[in-house]
Amino acid sequence: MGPKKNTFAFRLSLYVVSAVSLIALIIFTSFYLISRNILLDMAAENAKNITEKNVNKIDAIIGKSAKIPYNLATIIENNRPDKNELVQILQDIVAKNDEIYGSAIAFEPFSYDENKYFYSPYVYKTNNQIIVSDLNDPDYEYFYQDWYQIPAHLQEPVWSEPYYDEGGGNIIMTTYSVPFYKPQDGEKEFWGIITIDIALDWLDSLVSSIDIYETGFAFVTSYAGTFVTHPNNEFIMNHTIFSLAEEYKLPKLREFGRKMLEGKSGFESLYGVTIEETSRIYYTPFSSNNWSLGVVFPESELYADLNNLALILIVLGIFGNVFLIFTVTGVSSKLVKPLKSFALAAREIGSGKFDAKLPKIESKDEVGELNRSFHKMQFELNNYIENLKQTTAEKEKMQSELRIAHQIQMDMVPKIFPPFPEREDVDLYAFLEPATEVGGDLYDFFFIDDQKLVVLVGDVAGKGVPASLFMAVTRTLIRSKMSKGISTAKVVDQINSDLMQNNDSQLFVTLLLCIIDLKEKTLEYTSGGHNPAYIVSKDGEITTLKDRHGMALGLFDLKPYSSTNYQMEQGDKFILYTDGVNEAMDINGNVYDYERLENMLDKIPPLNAKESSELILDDIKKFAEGAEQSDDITLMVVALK
Amino acid sequence: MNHRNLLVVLIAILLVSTFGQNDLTKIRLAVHWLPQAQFAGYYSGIENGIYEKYGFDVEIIHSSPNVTAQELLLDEKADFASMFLTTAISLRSNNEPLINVCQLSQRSAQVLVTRDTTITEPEDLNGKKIGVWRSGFDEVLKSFVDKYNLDVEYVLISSTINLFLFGGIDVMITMWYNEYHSIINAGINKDELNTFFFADYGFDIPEDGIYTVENKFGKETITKFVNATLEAWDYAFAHKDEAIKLVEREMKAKNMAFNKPHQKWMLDRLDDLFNPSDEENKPGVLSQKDFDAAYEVLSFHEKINTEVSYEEFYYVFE
Repeated sequence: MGPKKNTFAFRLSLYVVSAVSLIALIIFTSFYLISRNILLDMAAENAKNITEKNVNKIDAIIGKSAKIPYNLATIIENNRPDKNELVQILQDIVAKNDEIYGSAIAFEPFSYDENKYFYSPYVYKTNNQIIVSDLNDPDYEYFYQDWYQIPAHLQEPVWSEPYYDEGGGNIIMTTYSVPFYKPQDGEKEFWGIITIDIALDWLDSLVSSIDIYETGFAFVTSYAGTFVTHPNNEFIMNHTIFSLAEEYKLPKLREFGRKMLEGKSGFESLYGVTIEETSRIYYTPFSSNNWSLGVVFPESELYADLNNLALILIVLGIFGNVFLIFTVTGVSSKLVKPLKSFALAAREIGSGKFDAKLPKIESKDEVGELNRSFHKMQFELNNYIENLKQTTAEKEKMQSELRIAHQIQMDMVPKIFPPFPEREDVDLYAFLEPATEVGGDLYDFFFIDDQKLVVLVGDVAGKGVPASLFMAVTRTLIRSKMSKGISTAKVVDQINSDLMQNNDSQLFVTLLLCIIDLKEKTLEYTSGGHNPAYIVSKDGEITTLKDRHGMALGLFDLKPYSSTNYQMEQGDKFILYTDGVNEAMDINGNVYDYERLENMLDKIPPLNAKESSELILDDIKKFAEGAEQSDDITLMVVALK
Repeated sequence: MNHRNLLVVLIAILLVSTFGQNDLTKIRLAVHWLPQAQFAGYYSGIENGIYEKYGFDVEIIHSSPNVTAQELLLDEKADFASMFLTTAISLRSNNEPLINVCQLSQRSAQVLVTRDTTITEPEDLNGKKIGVWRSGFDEVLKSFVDKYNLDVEYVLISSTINLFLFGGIDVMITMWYNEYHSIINAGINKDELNTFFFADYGFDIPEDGIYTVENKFGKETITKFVNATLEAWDYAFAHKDEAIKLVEREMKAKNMAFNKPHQKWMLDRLDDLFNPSDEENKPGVLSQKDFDAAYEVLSFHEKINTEVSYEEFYYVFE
């Protein structure tokens, strides 16, 4: 089975086979074309040689015959033989020359015998007998026969067109006519015509004896393009090369027929007429007359070498391609096979089976490299996963511890509201939203006697477990230091001193510590670097408690903290918070700010403490709109009733 | 074949052999040249029983360069003869009792041909050797030569174009349907030939017609023979390949060079000459106009000894 269409092996063999085939095609075609030209030249040369060899052979035979009337003319011109001698000479000529069918000596009117208008002894062969006759039939009137009239007019020897000789031999023949002259007073006077007749049968058998490959043949055309010989005897005398061209509608045949008439040589292609298949014809003129020899070569025979070459090239090309396809497909399949195993292994690893079995490959090539990389990747992956498991377990543990720390922290701040349901003079609400699991903010409130309420808000710098521990320490310190009659400044001083001891981590806390005398409605507060708190009266008047009494606690012991007293009214709301409120950020990094907080404060006079807290918290959440909370948010509202 | 059919055939054969042959009038028709498509109509008429249908048993006698059709007719070796119109009028004016019974050709087919490209106008023929047939047919040529006051040398030739091809003569008179095409088929292209169609020079004198001797046959016989001949020609023109086969047979019997395209050309051209598209007369009719034209040419050459009238020369068939 061959490879599937989308496989690497298929594509590789497609590309390689296409490219190699193209190259092979170019090489083979070039080779074929070059060889073809060489072979064509050779075939043309061969055709030329065959034709010229035969033309020379026939020429030699015709030329030998053509000498006979010349010699005879000399004899007559010089010796003026008598009638008997003339007949004797003719008999000798006809008897001794196989190719000569008949011979005549035709005189001009009254020029040999002054009593005779016609005088022309004629000797010819028939049925192996030699017949002597005289062409003196008035109906025949030899002066007007082509064999006499044309050479007489031209005053030169002429080979006649093929004709059927009705008067003499009753065969198709050609006559070679040579004029001869009577010496008269030093001048030469035209005296008559000497002829030899050559039966076309004889000439035809001579031409037919030429072997041209298997089925090729030769033919002879006359001065006017008439067939003198041709294997198809129907053509002889009847057809000219031009009438064939007309009958078979071959203008090309007419064209090279004309070249034959002009005595040119040529090599042309021809289809039809005399041969069933495409053939080539070489033609060349005779030198002894103005005839032409044409030799027809069937292309299949003439170009046998070329056709064999083409066949060999095609077979080689096909076998080569098939071999190439199998080789490339085989090799690429073998090379690609490990990749399939890798693909399977990678899929298994991807699904979590990290110990998937990898193919065993020993080779040092790219696939071997890939194999080594795969092994390494598998090893590293296993290590990594092992680490990850460990880390995750540790993190889980820490998380759970953090959750516990958070729980402890949240447990440290009072969470039961309302905290003092039995008291009618105060309403209090607070909340703490830690940014991380464990926050650094704190709030607290408690009574130190029947009428003094301690409230405080703090913010440890940093977050997480250290901050919350620091906060726990701070809260515990406040609870322990706070006693009846002690001022807020004094408490803050003591806490600052305690925190500074062993504070290697350099943590610190801002703190707003207040004591509210519910009966007198006085407020005493100390701010250690904390945000200003607000007093909102029942009429909506907002007072900012701007006083700061020192820096954040835990770092420096520069000078004692002081405190500020403030006279509150019934209906006032005291709002404490950490910077998580005024520095809450939205997703674009804008801060919530005091202005927006103060706008919210305008709305709180009719509300109770819890409602006021929730209004502000909702507004902060609305502002932050999904942005991650960056700091703990702590808010406490104390309402005096 | 069953017995009844056999009987019918036997009776038919008996009838034909006893009565049929006896009824046929024997006619010897001399045609004015050797076998070729020029006479295809007559061969078709005999072969296809057209003459027989009209009651004739026709034998064709071909003339040759040495024996003309008119000689055969006047020597009573033929009953009818085909010949050129001018030849016939000339003979009639010499008191030979010839009558035209059918004028087949309606147009002149004679054309002078030369390979000499310097000869483009009739005047250029001055001093040239012109080949003419020894057997005649030269009256129109001579009128043409006289019309242009040419001094030419006539060379008599028997029947081939070879003297012309070998360059023994400058110009040759040819028939458009015959020698002209032979020259083309000897490898000379049309554009290498300059031609003078006599018809273009005021000598559109038709040629082939059928003649007999006065008072030899009755009106009925002549009419039947002419109608048979016209029908025979129509058949030949309608069945050219068949007619060419008959021509081939006749030519080969005389050992003549036959080639099909040449004979086909000849038959096609005869069709043009016998049935010109612009001819007013029906086929076979000799018009007064054509007679007068031929007569004028002959008078000019003093070939008219005694006057000949159209009416006495042309026997109107029906």
